[in-house]
Amino acid sequence: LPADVKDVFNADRLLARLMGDNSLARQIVAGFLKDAPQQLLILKSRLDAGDALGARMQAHSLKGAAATVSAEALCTLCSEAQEAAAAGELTRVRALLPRIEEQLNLLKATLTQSGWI
Amino acid sequence: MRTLIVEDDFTSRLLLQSFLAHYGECHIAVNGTEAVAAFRAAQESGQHYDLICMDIMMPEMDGQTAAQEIRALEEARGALSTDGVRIIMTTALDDVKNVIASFKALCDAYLFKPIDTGMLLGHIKEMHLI
Repeated sequence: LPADVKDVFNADRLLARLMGDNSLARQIVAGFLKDAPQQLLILKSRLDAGDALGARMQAHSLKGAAATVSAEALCTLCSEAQEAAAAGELTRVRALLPRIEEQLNLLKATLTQSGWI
Repeated sequence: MRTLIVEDDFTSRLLLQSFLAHYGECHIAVNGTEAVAAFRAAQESGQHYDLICMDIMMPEMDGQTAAQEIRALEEARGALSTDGVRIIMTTALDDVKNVIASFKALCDAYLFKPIDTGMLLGHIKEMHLI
């Protein structure tokens, strides 16, 4: 896979972390895709409520989930959102939301194209 | 091996549960408050946990506080932490300060996220839980 695709989804790293267990890898990738949109909605609602601590916790949780499936670019964006929320910069978190959504869509497309889902 | 997985993120929870289910019964808590309640219930029913995988940064009650409360419950029953439940703290890489604090709260090991199942298995073997 080209380097930029690996940035979206690093299958090698995921499988290495799961002792090569392909079935477990597919299970958590599917679980992540089902759960992530809901988690993104929660992040939006925390922002709407002006809840910086809640937004920080939620971005942290999303970051962890993205890292778990080796969605590296998505993980980086969520990490930026977490840092912005920790600094109380909710406008910056909000500005990151479309990029996070875009990256999530790109992840889905990449996983579909490569036969992971 | 009876395990309590304490994790607020669904994907991380799914990974731990799917992997650890091969080695025995797994229960789930999504924050520290639930973890302490589950531990207390297990203690009262005599069905002790052998292992707790505890996330640090969670809503309601964080992992460090929950670990401290669990050790206090053990101590109240006369168990030393060396004989008590094995606790593995799971944490993000940017959380090193919390890892040090976790050892003060008497955890037995820590794992950086994202979880590597080989490393997790290594800890469980070192602890002679399997």
